[in-house]
Amino acid sequence: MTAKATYGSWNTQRLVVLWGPPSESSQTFGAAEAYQTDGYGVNRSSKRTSAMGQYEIPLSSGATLRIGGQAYATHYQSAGVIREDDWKAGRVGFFGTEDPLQGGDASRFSLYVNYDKAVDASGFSQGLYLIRRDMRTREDFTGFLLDTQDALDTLHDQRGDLIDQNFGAWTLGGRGAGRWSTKLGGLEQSVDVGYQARVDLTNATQYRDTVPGDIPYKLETDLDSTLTDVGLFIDASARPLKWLTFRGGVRVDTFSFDVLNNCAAQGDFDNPSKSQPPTNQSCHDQMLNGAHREPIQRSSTGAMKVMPRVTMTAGPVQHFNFSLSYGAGVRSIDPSYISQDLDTPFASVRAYEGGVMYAHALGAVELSARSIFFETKVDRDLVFSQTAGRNVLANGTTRVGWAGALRLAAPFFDESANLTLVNPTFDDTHLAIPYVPSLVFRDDAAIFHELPLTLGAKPLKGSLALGWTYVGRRALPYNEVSDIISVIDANAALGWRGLELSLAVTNLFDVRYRLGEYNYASDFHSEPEPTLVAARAFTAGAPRGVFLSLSGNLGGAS
Amino acid sequence: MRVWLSALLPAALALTGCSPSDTGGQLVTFQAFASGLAGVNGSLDFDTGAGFHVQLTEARLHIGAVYFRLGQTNPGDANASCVGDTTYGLQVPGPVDVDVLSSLPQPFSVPGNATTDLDQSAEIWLVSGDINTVASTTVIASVTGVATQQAATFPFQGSITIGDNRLIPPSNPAEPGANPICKQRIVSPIPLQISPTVGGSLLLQVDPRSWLGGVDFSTLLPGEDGTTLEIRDVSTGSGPDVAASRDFFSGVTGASAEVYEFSWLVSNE
Repeated sequence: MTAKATYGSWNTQRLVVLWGPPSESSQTFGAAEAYQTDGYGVNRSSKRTSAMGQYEIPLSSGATLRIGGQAYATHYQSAGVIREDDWKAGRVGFFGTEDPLQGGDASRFSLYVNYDKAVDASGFSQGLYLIRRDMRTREDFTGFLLDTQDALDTLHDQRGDLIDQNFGAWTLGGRGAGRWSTKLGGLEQSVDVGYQARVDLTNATQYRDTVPGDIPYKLETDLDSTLTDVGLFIDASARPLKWLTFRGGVRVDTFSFDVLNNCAAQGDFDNPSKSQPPTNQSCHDQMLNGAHREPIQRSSTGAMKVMPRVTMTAGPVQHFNFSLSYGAGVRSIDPSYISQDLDTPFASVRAYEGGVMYAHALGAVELSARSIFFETKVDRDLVFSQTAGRNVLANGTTRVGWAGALRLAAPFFDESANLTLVNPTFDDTHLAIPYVPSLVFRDDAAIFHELPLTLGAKPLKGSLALGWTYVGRRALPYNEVSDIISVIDANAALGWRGLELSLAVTNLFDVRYRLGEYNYASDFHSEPEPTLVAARAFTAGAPRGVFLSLSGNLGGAS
Repeated sequence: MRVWLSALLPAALALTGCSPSDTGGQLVTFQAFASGLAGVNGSLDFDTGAGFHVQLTEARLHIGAVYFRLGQTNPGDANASCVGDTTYGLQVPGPVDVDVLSSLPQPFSVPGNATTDLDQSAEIWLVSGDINTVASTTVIASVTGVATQQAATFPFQGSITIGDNRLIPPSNPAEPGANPICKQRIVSPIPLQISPTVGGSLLLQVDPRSWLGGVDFSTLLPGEDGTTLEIRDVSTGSGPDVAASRDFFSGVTGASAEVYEFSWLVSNE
């Protein structure tokens, strides 16, 4: 049983408890966390609580049954983006906000049950899960820019662009698989078959709210959707030589979309009814010349997709392993894009990858390294849209890149570094994809050892750790680039018996950095008349934070 | 060793600045100016289409802002909204009071911003404050001068405000937002072909001759001083001079590249 309490900057408080009965399987456990903070700067408070637990029941013949659940709920405020010219002119602080109404709520509850059984070289598994998700976000990227005057509406000013999105979903799913394996020439060969199926019952609404006031004045989206994905797969592994393995398979999925648009008729139309004028209505029940229509529209479609994948691995040869792989997949699209009998209600993805891994023990030091070149092609990628307040479909893209990792581990230190380089471009124009960093680096280093100090005949243990995050310049629209992000975090801990006292400092050197940077049109009333041309906006990264934690363990660590 | 060298090559390329950043276009900050016609200095003589010879001795224009759109806009566009999309490529979002009888460039109160994309139509916002707030007493345009026709002389003055006096009631009560006041305040679309460049500046030249091109000065009535004829600040009502008032308003707010000529001045000009 372990408990950990933390207090630190911005009145941040966190309590974590974990437990697992020593007489049960290590797969039986429980954990919970409570967290709240006032947040740095303005309008960044948040609170959350989460809990999860699992119980593993051993059955006869080596089978196991795992039952688990998870719960999570949060409420938060968000500062959102601020315009660079507003910050430079002193109208808004670096950690300020253009719109204090931003924030959100989210919750997620899930239950699952899994049955696994292994008999000799074969295996069988079956799982079911049920998930409930709810989310609300209130975001304002553009200020007072998007509130158009419709002829059917009474005269109004720009009332504000605050996006009030709500999303709720039930997900019911199951997955099952069987495995058969044998040995040929002393080498294992295997075949896996299985299925996965899920249905998502969702409701999504999006309102525009006034600023100030937070009063909805326009319903932009109201969708009830039933999305299903039922698929099967077959996957074979052949090992003709001790150092050579081929894996290949195919997955066949059928997707169906049934989307009921509860607000399908929007905007102006000619000659509305004079006797029943549709004034200020978001969703019309009239059309041209005042003819009646229902405000709803249902669209449904379905598609099947065959997705192959193949991998070849070779090694180890002098501590090296080599791999080549290809795979195809899909990503379903936003229900708002679904039209009747749409042929391809998903984005197709093709990925190629080749890499080499190295692992070797050099005395007490274990060295492992990885180098992977990759290419990913998406026929309809997602790109951030400030007007929609989320990522929206864009043209096809290609990402060519390299990912490398290095780890050195020893009894008294651990060093891990990861570097990813990528060249992301649109397929049609060959221009860079905005907002994607071309270089991301993370390094974590820690030293830990017993100290030459004892307390009650028990030695004290100490540790020091540093983490370095480096994000290279991101391409922005109109040929601009973002600033670099380079932030170092540190942690020092002192342990004695089952107790540990630790001090964590995030952004150790208090670097003022921009977490996200954008170039687009927004108007937050910073000039006498509206600002309608693209300008730099950013979200502020966190300043230095100091957090003190005390944890205690009862009954052993495992 | 060869494997490690091949793995480190892209890292070296990225760190030396070869990472992609070309997303197309560029952002430009510039200074904007407005002036009268070249060579004008304090007065302007011209003949009008209505058969008058006019000597202007004062002509002023209050411009609230200037915007360029990336595409061409349809002058017959029935869309009631004045703003609401993101197709703007240039903005000068602050005012200038222009002496139209001076050829000296007079700076806007705020710098402009633009992308380097091709702009194809311009909007001039004749406003002080919120474009959608109906009430306004700001004088947008004013003129003083003398018109002559054969032996008759017509000393005149006139001014324009755009507030409740210019609000057009909707023809269909089911469309209460069909004629927002912003439509009366925005001079658009003014055709042009301008691609802003770094280091350049924007010049708007205003030719006031067309403001009075259709005005029949013989219909004007004396103002408060009893001698100077007045172009009244009205668009509706009765009286022989209402047509002249409407012609003056139409002359000022008519979207014409001859009346409002934009030019992009590169840095060596």
